[in-house]
Amino acid sequence: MSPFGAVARREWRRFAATPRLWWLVLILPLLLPGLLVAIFAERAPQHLPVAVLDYDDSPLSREFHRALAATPGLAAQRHVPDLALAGAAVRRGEVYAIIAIPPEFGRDILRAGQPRGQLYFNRQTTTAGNIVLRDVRTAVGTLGVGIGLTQGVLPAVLMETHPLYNPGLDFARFLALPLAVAVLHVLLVVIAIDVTGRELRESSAGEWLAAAGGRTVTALLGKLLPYAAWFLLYGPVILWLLVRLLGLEVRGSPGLWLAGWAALIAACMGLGVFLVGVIGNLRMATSVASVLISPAFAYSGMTFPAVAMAGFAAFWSFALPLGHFLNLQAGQLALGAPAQAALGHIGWLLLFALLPLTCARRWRRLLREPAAWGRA
Amino acid sequence: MGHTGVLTTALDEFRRVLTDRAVLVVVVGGSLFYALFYPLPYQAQVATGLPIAVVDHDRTALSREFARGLDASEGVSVTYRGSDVIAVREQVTTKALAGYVEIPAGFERRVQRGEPARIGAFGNAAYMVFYSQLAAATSEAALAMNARIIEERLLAARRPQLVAEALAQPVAVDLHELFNPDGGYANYVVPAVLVLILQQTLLIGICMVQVGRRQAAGYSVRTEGLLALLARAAVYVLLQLALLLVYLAVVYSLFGFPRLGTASGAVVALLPSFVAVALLGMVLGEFFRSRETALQVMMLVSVPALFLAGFAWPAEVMPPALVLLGQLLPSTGGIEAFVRVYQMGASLAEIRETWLASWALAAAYGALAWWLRARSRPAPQSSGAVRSVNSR
Repeated sequence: MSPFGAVARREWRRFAATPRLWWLVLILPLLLPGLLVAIFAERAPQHLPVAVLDYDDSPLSREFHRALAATPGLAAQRHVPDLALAGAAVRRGEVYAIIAIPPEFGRDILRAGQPRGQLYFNRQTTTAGNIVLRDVRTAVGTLGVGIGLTQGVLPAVLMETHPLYNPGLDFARFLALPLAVAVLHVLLVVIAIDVTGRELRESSAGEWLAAAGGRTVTALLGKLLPYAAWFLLYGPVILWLLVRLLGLEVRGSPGLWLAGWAALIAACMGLGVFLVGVIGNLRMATSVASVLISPAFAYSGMTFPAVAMAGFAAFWSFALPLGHFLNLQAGQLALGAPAQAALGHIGWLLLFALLPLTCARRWRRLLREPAAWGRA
Repeated sequence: MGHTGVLTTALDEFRRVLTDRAVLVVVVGGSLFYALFYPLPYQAQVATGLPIAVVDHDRTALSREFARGLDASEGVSVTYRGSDVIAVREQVTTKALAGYVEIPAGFERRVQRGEPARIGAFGNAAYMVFYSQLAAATSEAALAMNARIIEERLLAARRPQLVAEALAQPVAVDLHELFNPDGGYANYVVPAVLVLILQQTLLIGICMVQVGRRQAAGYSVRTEGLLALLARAAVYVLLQLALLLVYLAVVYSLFGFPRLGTASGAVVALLPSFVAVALLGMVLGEFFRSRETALQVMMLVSVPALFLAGFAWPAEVMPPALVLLGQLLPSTGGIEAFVRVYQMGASLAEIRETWLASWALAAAYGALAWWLRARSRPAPQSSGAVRSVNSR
């Protein structure tokens, strides 16, 4: 048998005997993305509880209440008009906002007094707060246009919103799918570090090298390529399931997306092998990997835009592999971006795949010096 | 066991933490590093000046006025004005533009005829902030222009100034942003993430110490009772309190996060979650066979744990089964209690339910840890070092 085949067969036996790897390779890649998509099953926040304090209780104030209740995002509950009580309800987390309708609200409208409602909204929970703000503005606009029409005033300028690539303003599309990729990329790095680093930790590196016929490159490739091949199949199946589940319309090239996924696998494995090589210790390599990739989603620009980052954050956002794949994915699955943009991302990811070359010497030594093994 | 016994056990646990470089790296190094590293991408708080285009098919004084009004807003900046919608859309797909505003031909003419004229706001909603900033800026500009035109029309029709102003905007709303002025992104994310960072790094550290102790010299913990378990857990509660105070003193002042609560309030609010974390660590420490497993597991759990906590994504719209799952994590109650007390200035009475639930969780994990330790259980045999120990 070829040395490559011998290493792969040996890895298969190790895999079959290690429940931890079944979790990392088979179960978690399905379970974690599934969990993330399930969290966002509602797609867009609806019926967020808000307190309406109607100090006026006139036909017009009730009309305002109805306009608030008619928006998709709000569940407008009538509360006793007591600001202190309602404030406590916000702090207790029972409502996201208070809308106070002042006394004489209806009369002021008829007297052209321009009454002002008061919106107190919780922006600490920003996702919910922004939806409250949007829908209260909608309700005020609806009420204003209605009042104008009764006086024979037509609106002059109206705005129509068109959320491109995501007509339902679906949070699952823009969050769950990238988050699923983020956990898969953590899994890939963890697996690459675990299967290589554990041979050093458990002092079986000599046996591993022997199976590879004494060749370092064969040892590493024979071990990692089977996992890479598996994820090349498994990853797209999982992500494609999510894409279908989320009803995403593919506007770009699925082929480029697939090529990007292959490049991300290579980059994650390259990074893992590089870290074990440089650090020479399973635990420490895992710790350092965690520092590099655990916060990667925050830096990816999928939530807070990368253009608004500055200094080190901007550099780090550009450097980490995850953001490159996520932007490629958004471009090819949702936006229909030109191929050129995707190729740049793939090129950057492949640089990570080549990282182990910079520590090839070190890997040769690690596999040959028993003194470097068994370090906890 | 007497008081000295409890103290000795606690000191033994503390010594294990202090003398284990791997544990120190994660618990002290990791928790401080992540706390300083996580806020960096959000430092700007609000994305301003996002590039957008105005696709102007009207090319009149009024359409130009609209573009100027849009450009004056803080959220966006008009970097292209023209009528080539295809070129603009391509720029949106490469993210060179956050979106565009389309002013149709005949815009000014419709306004002059007194018919409602429409403006389209097209934002890239695959990146939610791009869309929301563009929609907010356009809506503001459209409202302002709408009010101005209506007022002018009514004045031209010889209605009194007061009536004209009122009908241009019959109702208005004053906005009062509670707890997080301007909706800053870091103010929103970081307080919650800090609680999660503390939990994750501590769980790793606790598990490492427990697995290490079981591995070392076949040390058996099953002779220890409940008091010893609590003594060991107390060490980690104190560690979390110390790190929390560092967060409040250093991280908060370094990044200037606003807050309404007090440090003592935050300590009281988080105490039950800290106890739950310490005891959950004792439970998990019984399951992991090697020290690295804790690291790997916590890396993978972090992201789901953050979103299960119900602050970034409202718990009201989460499937009930997942809300329940989230309640099993000390971070869920901890984040809720900490954010409400320290960010929003809630009193202890206002978080009573969450606080008591966290104590119940702590009690449950304590009972579970105690029960697991009471069972006889062989030392793990995963590493070479252990094998040699056991064969002795």
